[in-house]
Amino acid sequence: MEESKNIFYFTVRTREEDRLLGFAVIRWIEWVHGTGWIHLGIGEPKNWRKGFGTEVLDLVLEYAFNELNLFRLGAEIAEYNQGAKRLFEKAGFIEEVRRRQALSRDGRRWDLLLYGLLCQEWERRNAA
Amino acid sequence: MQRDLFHGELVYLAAEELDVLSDALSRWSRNSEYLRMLTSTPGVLWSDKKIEEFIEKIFDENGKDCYFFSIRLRENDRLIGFSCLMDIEANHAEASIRIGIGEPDSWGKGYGTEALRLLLVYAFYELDLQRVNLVVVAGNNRAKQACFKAGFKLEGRMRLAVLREGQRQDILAMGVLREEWSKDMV
Repeated sequence: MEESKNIFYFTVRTREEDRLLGFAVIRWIEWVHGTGWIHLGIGEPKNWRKGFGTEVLDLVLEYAFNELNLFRLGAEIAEYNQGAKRLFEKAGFIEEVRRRQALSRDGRRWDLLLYGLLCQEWERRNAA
Repeated sequence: MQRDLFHGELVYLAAEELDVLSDALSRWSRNSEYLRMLTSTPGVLWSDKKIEEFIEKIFDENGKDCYFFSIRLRENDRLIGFSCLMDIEANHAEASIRIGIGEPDSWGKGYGTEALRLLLVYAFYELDLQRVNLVVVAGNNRAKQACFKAGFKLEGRMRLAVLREGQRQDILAMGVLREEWSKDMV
């Protein structure tokens, strides 16, 4: 869809029936440092926890590291988003930063977690 | 008690006319060591006209999307740097600070630390924010020390996120909460 020097935007569809499930974005790319950030969304709650996110993340990582040749990727995850934490940790992302109380929602404050994954870590996992 | 939001012991926060700030930014931005400490984006040399356009944009946003101050010395009114509260997330009561001391002979004298302290007072007592972010490249020891002295805590590091002269460095993520700041610093 939208594509410029600093953002790569994809939608996500099922192979069966071509149903539109969500989006996947690589953004805030800094080419000189080889860094970027991943932003994923599966829109309908009924499509959560079906393995779609895992597969999308695998595809996006492949694209980011083997096509864009990025050195590292980050992801911002709200403390309360257990599904996203599981998804990114399963793909090898490490919690690098905890922005304490950065989010104010439902009458309380939550941390914002920044996760990171290096290309070399991703390659090592793929080789194993 | 009424606080003086804009004056410290060594420095004060000020506003500048376009030509004065433009001259200063133009001079500072010709120093690559300064640019590399200021930001991870590649250093670019701009014409005076381009710098003026950049400043005009900041002036337009000032007081809305960002809060911009120049930094001057109390002893002789010399203009030595700038500071800015930006990326304001009003619904989460959060913002980020960007600060630069452009005059190299003013480095290491505590001016940046004091300016940071003034900016935090403004962020917490005037804008009523709950937390403030600041990122710094790991090798920038002066900035790190200034942050800690002003009350920031290290919240983590984005590993190897900056590449310079063939070497990778972490970016440090600093944060300060109003709660802990008002207990420790005020």
